[in-house]
Amino acid sequence: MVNLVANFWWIPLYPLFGAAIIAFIRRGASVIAPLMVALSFIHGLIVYSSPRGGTLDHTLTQWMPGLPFRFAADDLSLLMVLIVSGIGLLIHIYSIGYMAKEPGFWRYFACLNLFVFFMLLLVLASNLAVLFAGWEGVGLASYLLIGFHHDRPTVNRNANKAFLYNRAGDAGFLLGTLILLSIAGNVEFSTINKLPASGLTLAAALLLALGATGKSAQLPLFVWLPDAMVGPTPVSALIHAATMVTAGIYLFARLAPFLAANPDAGLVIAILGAATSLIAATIAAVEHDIKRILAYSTVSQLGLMFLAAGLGATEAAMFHVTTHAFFKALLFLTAGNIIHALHGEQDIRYMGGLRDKMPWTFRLMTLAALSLAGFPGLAGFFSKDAILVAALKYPVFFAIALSVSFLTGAYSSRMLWAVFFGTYQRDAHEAHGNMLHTLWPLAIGSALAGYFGPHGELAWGVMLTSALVSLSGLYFGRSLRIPVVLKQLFARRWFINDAYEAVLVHAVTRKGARAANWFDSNLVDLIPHVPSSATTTLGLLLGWFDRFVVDGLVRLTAALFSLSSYPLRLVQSGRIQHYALAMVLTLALTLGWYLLA
Amino acid sequence: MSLYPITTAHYVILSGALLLIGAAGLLMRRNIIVMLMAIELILNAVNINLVAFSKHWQQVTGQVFAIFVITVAVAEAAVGLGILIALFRHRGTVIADEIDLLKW
Repeated sequence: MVNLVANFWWIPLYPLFGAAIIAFIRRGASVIAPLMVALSFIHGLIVYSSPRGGTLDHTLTQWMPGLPFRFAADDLSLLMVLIVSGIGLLIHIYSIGYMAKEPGFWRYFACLNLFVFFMLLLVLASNLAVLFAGWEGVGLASYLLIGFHHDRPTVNRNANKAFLYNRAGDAGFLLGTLILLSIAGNVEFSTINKLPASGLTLAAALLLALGATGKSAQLPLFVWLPDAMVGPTPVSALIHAATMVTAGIYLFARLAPFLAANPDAGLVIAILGAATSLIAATIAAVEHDIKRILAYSTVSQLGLMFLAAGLGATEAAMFHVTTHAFFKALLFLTAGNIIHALHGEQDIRYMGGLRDKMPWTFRLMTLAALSLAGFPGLAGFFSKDAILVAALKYPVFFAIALSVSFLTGAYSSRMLWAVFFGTYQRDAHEAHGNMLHTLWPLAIGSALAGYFGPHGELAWGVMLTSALVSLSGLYFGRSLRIPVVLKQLFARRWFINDAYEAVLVHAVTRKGARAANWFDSNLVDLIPHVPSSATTTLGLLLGWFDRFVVDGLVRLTAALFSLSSYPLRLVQSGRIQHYALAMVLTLALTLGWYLLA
Repeated sequence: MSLYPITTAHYVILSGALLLIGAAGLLMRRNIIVMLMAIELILNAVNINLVAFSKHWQQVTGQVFAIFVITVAVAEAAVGLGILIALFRHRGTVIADEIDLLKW
C-alpha cells in the first residue's frame, strides 16, 4: 500500500498523464480525461481528510541552485486542489455532452487535462519558481483552449490577446521573483513570508501583484478575460471558476504574511481591486452577450477578492474564491446549456421565455445568480459579507463594495429577466444527461457552501445592509434605467480596451514597427552591410587583379606565340594549288640539284 | 634528231612533254575536274616512261608496274570525283580558289 499522503505530489501527475495519453492515442478521451481528474480529486480528498501534522513537502529534484523543484501541501493548497479538481471534474463530465459533436474532441480534452495539471502544479508549489511554471502553464493551456475554434474569425486574435496580456503580467511576476531571489537566496514561500520589509520587497510585492492582475484579470490587464469568451463555454467555466483567474488570489493568500509586511503593496492591490470591481460591474450591467455578462461579473467578483486580499483578509478572499467557484461554474454551465439549446446564440436580446422550455436550467441558473448576487442564506451572501466586514475599516472601500453588491444584484436579475421571462423568440429544448446532472453538485455548493466558511463573530449590521443592498439590486435590476451618457461609457467599457488598442496595438505595433523597421534597416543592417561591402570591394579588387594581371600573363604568352607564328601562318594559304606548286618546285629543285651536281 | 626509227629517246621526250603539260595544267587551271585530268596526264607520262624502258631493257617488270599505275589511277579518279561531287553538293562550286578553309 503506497502512502498516498506522503506522495501527495502525485496529484498533478494524473491529468498530465491523461493529457499525454489522449494526445498520443487520440481516442477514449471521454473516459480518460474525467477519470484522471477524478483520481486527482480522490487523492486530494484523501490527503485533505488525513491527519498531516503541519505542511507536507516533497523535493522532486534540485532544479537550479536555490530553486528546488519542491511541492508543498497545507490546508490552503489542498482546498485549492479540491476546488480545481472537483469543479474541473464536473466540467470535464459536462464537456462530454457539450463537445460531443465537435471535431477535435480529443484535442479539447487533452488541453483541458493539461490545464488542470498546470493549475494543480501551481497550487502545490512550494516556491515561486515552481508556482511560476504552473502560472505559465495555465497561460499556455488557456491560450490553447480559448483558441480551440481556431477556424472561426477573431478567435485567434482573442486567444493571442489573452496570452499577451498574461505575458505582460508574467513579466512582472518574473521580475518580482528575481528580486526576491536576489534578496533571500531562494524563493520558498516560507522564506519570503519571513522577509523583513524594505523598498526592494515592496517593489517585488508590486511586481507580483502586476502578475496577479494579469492572471486574475484586474486593472490594468483585465481586458483579455471578456474576449476570452470565444472559447467553448465549459472552458470559460473552468477559467472562471476553478483554474486560471483564481491563481492571483491564491498567490496573495499564499504570500499573506509577506503582503502584511508590505502594507503599501496591499493598499495598491485593494485600490486596483476596488476600481476593477466597480468598472466591471457597470459594464456587466449594460452588456448583451450572456457570456460577457458573466465574464465581467467574474472580473468584478475577483476585484472584490483583490480588495479583501489587499486589506489582509485573505481568509475572506479565499472563502469568496470557493463559493464563487461553485456559483460561477453553475452560471457558465447553465449558460452553456442555453447557448447549446439556441444553437450558438449568445445575445440575451434574442432570448426570452425560456422558463417553460428549460425549467431545470431556469431553476439552477436562478439559484446561481441569486447566490452571485448575495441573496441572504445562499453561499455568495456569506462570502461577500466576509469581504464587506474586511472593508468596514475603510469607508471608501466599503462604499465601493456595497455599490458593487447592488450592481451585482442588478445585472443578475437583468440577465434572468431577459433570458427566462418575456416572449418566446427561439425554439429551445431542455438539456439532459451529462449536461444537466453534473450541475447538481454545483447547485448544492452554490446554496450551502457559505455555511462552511471561516465565520468570525457575526456582524449583524453589515449582514443586514448587505442583504438590503443585494435585494434592492435584484429588485431594480429588471427595470434599471441608466443615463445615456453613462450607458455609452459602460457599453464602450470605459474606453479602457479602446485606449489599449489605440496605444498598444496601433501606436506600439504600427509606429513601433516603423521605428523598429528604421532601426533594423539603418542600424542593425550595418552589421551585415559593413562586412558585405568590405567583401564586395575586396572581391572587386581581386577580380581586377585576376582579370588584368593573372589573365594578362596568360594572354601575353598567347599573344607572343600568335605573333611569332604569323609568318609561318602565311604559308598555309588553304589553296591546294599553292601546295601543288611547292611540291612541283621542290621536286624540280631536287631533280635539278641532282642532275647538276 | 630524226623521227625515224622511233627510239627510246623519243618516248622519253614524249613522256617529259606530257609531264610538263600535266604539271602546268595542275598548277594553272582552277577547276578541280581539270586538275584531276591533269593528274591523269602526269600518271600517263609515267606509264609511257615505264613501258618504254621495259621495252628498252627487255624486262616485263615495267609493263606490270604500268598496269598497277593504271589501276591506282582509276581508283584515284573514282575517289577524287566522289569527293568532288560531295564537295559540290556542299559548297556549290568546284573552283579550287574558293575552297581554302584548310589553313592555319
